Amino acid sequence: MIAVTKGTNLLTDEPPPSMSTGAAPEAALASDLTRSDVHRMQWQQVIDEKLVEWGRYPAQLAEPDLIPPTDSAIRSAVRIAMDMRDASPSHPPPLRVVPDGDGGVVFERWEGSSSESIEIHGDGGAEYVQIRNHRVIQRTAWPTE
Amino acid sequence: MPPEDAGEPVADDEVLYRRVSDRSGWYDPSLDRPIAWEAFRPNERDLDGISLWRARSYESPERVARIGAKANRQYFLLVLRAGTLRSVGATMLPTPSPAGPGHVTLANLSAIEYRRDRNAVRELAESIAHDLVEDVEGPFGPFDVTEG
Repeated sequence: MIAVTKGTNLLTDEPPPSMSTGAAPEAALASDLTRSDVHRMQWQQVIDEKLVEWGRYPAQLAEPDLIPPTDSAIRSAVRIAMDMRDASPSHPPPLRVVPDGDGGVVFERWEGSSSESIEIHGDGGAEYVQIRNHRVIQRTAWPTE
Repeated sequence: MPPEDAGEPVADDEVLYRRVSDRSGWYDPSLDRPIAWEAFRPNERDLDGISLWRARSYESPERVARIGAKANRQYFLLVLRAGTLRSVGATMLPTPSPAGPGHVTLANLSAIEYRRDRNAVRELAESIAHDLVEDVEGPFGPFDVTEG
């Protein structure tokens, strides 16, 4: 879990193998910046390029199968992303940041058959979910205040 | 003309499409897990289940991509096989839709099921997204539509 199960945390312990957020490759930056610096920049990109854009123009995502993130979900997602960014050291950024299709947002990382996600719901509440071999092995509330 | 098959049971060898827009991020070929489980997560409108479209009802995949398409967007079709969906316990029901022929709902992935047991819904969506999508067609579009 991101802040609970030290040692198995994909979102806290391991560097990201790749990013879908358009973030600069770590190798190119590693000589001048610490890993934490890079993670901080990548979280900022998540905020600026995804969350803020979705909050400004939610209709850009709307489809019959996709209800765009609500204002409450965006606010909670930004708050969580800022907390992850500002932690010391900064937490690894998610490999995928997507709308959940029902008014929420999901941050997700994975490695092998395991994955972790923070599901931010349309009402602004959030949960941490850990998956192994397609099975939910943990689901707990994630603080958003 | 493709067959009109409203109400006809879905055969195991039938191909079904799940339609996703490029803006959703639910399909990202740059990732080692290119298909997000969220592509199969029901929303509050999915009272009977998420929507799939029968390939046999259309002359081409591109025609499926056009269903309800919005301007300046592209669409992908996640290709599924009815028999493999059944192998993981999925139930498919032909359900007429004003949007077009060949509409099928995946009943296990409905808003009601999500409220009842969201872990079960998540697990089935994970299985389908990561193991059962046979192919991805597209992108299709953008299409010339008046509504954006």
